Amino acid sequence: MKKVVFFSFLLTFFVACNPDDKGGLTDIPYNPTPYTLSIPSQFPQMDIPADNPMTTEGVELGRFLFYDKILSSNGTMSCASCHLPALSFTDANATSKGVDNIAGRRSSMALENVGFVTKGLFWDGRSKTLEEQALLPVEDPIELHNKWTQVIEKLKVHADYPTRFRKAFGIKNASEITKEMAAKAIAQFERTLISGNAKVDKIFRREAEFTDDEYSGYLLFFNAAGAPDAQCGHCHTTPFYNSNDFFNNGLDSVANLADFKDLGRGVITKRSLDNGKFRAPSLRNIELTAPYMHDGRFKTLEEVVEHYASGGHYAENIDPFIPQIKDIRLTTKQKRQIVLFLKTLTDTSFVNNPAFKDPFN
Amino acid sequence: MKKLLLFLSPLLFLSSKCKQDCGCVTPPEPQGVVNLNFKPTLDNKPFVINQVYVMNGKKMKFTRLSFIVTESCAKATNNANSCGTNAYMFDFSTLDDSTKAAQGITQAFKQQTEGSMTGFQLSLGVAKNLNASLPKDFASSNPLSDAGLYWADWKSYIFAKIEGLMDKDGNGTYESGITLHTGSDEAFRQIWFPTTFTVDTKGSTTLNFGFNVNNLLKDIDLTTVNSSHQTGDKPTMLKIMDNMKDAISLK
Repeated sequence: MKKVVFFSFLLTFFVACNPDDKGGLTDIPYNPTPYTLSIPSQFPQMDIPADNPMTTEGVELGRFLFYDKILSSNGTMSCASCHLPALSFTDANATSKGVDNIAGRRSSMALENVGFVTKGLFWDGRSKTLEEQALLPVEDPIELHNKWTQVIEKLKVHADYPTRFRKAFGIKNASEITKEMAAKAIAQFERTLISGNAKVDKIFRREAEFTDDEYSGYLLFFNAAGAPDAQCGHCHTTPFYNSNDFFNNGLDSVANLADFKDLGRGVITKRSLDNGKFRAPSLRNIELTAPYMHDGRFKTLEEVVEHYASGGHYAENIDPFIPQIKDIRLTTKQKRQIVLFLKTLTDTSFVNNPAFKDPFN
Repeated sequence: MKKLLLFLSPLLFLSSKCKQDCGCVTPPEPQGVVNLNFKPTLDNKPFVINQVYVMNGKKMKFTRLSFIVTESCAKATNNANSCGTNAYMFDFSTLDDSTKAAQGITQAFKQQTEGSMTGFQLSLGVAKNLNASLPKDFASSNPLSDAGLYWADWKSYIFAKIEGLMDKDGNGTYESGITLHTGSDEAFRQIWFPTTFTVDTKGSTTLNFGFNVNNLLKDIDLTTVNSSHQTGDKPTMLKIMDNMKDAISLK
């Protein structure tokens, strides 16, 4: 009997000390809870990749990773450093600086309703999916400037993350954590960032009303009810006030299409006609996301409207709508009305949503 | 045990019956495929995006020329219509050199059946029942999900877009915009092409259409009519859609 006890003890010892079992997680239940997105009735259904179904555990893991500085090389920055919820996930800078204090070329993009973007993410559309996109900033030298291999090593030995990966993805051992899983979790969190409760939404739900000036701005914006066509609504269409497309909106005058300081979409498509084109971003929460344009050149919405009202700067591939704007000679009052309408796109319930906030604070 | 079986049998029957009635298991529909190819031309040459053309005495470049096709049908030898329910976007915007322009744009048109056909009905624009929908009603894979194709003031999809830039002053810069869009139920047009062809599941057959841009813009002076988004622009929109019927020919 004593021998049996002795061998049992020895067996337990070997099992416990088996290096292969280090980080074993199978004692933790894996019962992921399907996560149902709350999509406003005026929005389309969101495409969810079959290999990354939304779960409560995945979303929560993604939120932790989004706000965790463990992703950066020196532990000083996270995704949220350039994507602050109070600013609709932008950072108030013309261009964002990374961990080495190097300024990037472009302004941090707002993330509200990012899960509905179907034609490429970033200003130039270079990532097809949120899962692809989430992999890039970690290793970008002017962003988090880290290596995924180092991030994963830290996650594997972290006190909390192996359990979270187990609950989200069913891994049996911390050694199974991958960068693809981390990206999937971040993508799941980003898909929850839905904003559809601005004043304009309440107006269409008959819960609020435009002021006279806001309404005039709305009519100008959408060329509705016989109002002059300020052309805004051609590229910023409802319900997201964006386009799944890329345009040269007349920011720079260039003699040759190769002369754009930032070639934008052209780098991705290799077509010179796409040089200087950028995504027409969503205008939801635009009041909160200054400065504006891909390089943050305009500090205020008034400056933006003034730019368009001038007809922009000529380049061979300027969008044809831009020069037409100056033809209608928007008055000072009309420009102010357009800005007032734009401010009805602000959704304070989105920026204050506790589900989107930093879990470490 | 008997009682249990007696209790469970009707439940089991109801459950299986419900599955049939609900159509939960949908058998795959037989689908025939015929390729639709459109080769645009202007001045009897392949139409190239961003190339300089002279129309109405002014130099201009086109940056976009696109149109939607919905609910087109092939007529089978037994006179039954074999229709497609999908929407197709034909966008010439990528034809930015003469080689691409000569090849044109091809889409695989899916319809209900295979077999021998005696004609093809091409529907230009969005048919009335679909036009009552909104982009949010469609999956992102459907062209009709694109909010940029919907113009709320018309309560309609934009059926066709003709966009470009004109050197109105003759100073060498193309700084005057051309933005002609069409839409609304009244603008929906259909063309019937009698022709014999075979439809199979592999898409072995291609119907080759010409698209004459001169005909599309016939009697439209782009130097004076350079946009069509207002309600008052309806005559221009309808003229463009009528012209489009004349612009398309089966080769």
